[in-house]
Amino acid sequence: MNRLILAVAALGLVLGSVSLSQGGPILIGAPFELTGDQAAFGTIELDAVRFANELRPTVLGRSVEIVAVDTASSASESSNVTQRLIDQGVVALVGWCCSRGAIPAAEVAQAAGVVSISVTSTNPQTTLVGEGDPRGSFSFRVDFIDPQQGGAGADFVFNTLGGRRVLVVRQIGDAYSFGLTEFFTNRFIQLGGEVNIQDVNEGQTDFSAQVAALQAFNPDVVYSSAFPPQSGPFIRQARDGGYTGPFAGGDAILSQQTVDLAGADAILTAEGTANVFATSPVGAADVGSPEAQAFLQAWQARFGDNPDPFETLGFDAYNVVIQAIENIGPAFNERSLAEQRVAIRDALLATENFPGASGSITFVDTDGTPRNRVLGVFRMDLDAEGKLVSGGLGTLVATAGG
Amino acid sequence: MTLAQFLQQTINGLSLGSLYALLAIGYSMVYGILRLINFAHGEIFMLGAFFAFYTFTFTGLPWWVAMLVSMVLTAGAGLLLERLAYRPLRDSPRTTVLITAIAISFLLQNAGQMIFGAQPKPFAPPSLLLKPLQFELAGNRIFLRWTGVLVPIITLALLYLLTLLVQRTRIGKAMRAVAQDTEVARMMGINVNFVVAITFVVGSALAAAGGVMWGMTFRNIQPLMGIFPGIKAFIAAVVGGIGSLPGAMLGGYLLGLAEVWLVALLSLFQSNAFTLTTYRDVLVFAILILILLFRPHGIIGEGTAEKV
Repeated sequence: MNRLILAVAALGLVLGSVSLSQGGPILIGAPFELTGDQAAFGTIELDAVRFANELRPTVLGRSVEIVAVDTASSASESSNVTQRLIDQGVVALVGWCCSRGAIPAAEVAQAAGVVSISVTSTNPQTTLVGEGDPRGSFSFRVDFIDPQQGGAGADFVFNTLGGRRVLVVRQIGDAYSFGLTEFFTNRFIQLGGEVNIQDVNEGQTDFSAQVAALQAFNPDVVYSSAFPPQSGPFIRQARDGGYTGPFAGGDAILSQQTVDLAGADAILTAEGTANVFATSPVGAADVGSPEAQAFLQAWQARFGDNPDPFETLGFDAYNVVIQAIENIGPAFNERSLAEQRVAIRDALLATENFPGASGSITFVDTDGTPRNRVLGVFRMDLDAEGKLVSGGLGTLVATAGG
Repeated sequence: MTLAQFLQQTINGLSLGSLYALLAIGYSMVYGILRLINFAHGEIFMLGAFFAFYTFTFTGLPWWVAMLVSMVLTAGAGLLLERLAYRPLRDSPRTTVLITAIAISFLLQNAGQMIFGAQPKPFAPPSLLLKPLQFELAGNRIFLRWTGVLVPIITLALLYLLTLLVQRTRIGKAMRAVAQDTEVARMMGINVNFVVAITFVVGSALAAAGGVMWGMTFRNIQPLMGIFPGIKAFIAAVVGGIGSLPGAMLGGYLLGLAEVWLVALLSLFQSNAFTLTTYRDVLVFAILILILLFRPHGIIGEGTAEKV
């Protein structure tokens, strides 16, 4: 009997400490791809979230603490670390450059009733995991989605590059790559083009099989939906195999890592202009709003270079969540953790024209994918040292949407 | 397939086969002497590539010097591996040593990711070798790389030196003796430990050469790069007849050519719905299983009589 009383008392202490902890820092989980083949994006997006946290370290009189973890670019590891963060008591999750980890994590967060906001996952499924849940969806993103990106890519390849036969590089086991390939291919065939899909594996170094297929198919343009550790060497080996035409791809190839692995001579034509193009969210410099300008100046003052779109969106993802908490008001601090998590979701869904560095963000009447995001087509121009110009962006050659 | 394409793919296949052959010899030599399948051999190959990478990144030495430095360093790593992990288990059951080899393989993969970083690194071959080698043949353009021509030449030179070592020197004779019967060789006054050490040194140095040339051919290296080439070279050694040096060479070239030819052939018959080239490993290994069904001891292997 004594033991039972002790146990009840201990339980009371534990519960009491939970309500006491509401005076402590607000925890935001930040699961990002810090190792593995998506690390080039995950690491810079986490840096941007941390930078946003530096600029806005408190909300409702409490400090905000970023709890960063590595998803290792793996779908299963992403679910695991997400569950761990939820158990640690984070009020919301801001993370994921990529759909491979974002989709399974969004499912975990949905089941737990915690907001997950993905920075640059573009597969539509990421914000559809809550379909049919009577509590409503808890998954959000700040980027555009792949039907837009794949469609714009196909239009650009067909109309601007004049491609009619396209070889598409697809990465096995990756949700982003398969989704983007499907949306690109459907649109491109609809336009009247012909497509040949080649699959590559994560960690593959020898692409002679795919290059042989390329030589046999003889395409006008090669479109890659694979990540830089695969796309870079593929571009290299395609050039070594005699392919001289343009490359195009989604936002996953727009990285210095692609350039380094391919070699500058594989990116540039003999005349010295880049012959590789990527669709991507536009950077703050091309948004032009006062908020974008302020972000640009703060970033340049802190890091001495220009932010790229992934960093800009990482910055916005953090701020849109903090703004939602701010909008809930002081009542937020009185609530239980579960209620806080739902309140953040409700406040996010009420977000209209939030002035982000990447443009305005609206979640009202959406499934968690913001309306009217602007997409740019970038030419991956290099400076004399072989670095992508404009702080890792290249040159904006076209925009779509908005 | 045009004649030009065939010729081009044949040279690519010889180049890939050379790399498999260099690795397969390491498996075969160690198996011949210790009856051990050294599953960490793929990671030795990876170390070879990284040693060369850091040598020419930090010292700017010419590539062939970097390759020699890497061969020496990797031979040292192989020696250390034998001394620390395998020699203490020399008299243990075979499975114990086999499990140790697998553990060492995982250990080196993960240590590599921690020390070198998990991201692939661009591996820059000398600019001379970067120049494409293009010419017309019967109206068709052939695109080759100088590396593709150089790799088989360097490999054949190394294999010739290895044959001299095994056939013409005292240590080679000792190696053959230990491979035939360790106990009798020991009774005849052969220092078995020394012979085993030399086997690891030679096998690791050849793997390092393979790793460096792999990097030059495919232009990027990463800590897990040894896994697939390692497994394939092991299979090449088995198909050729494990324990036999000519068998390992033959197996390596056979596997390289089969892969590349098959892929070139498959790429002619594919549609969007079905990308055949992805099945390259499935088909290549199906062929290899067939070979083993008809020649269980490999192409050159002769039942129980095994040579180094």
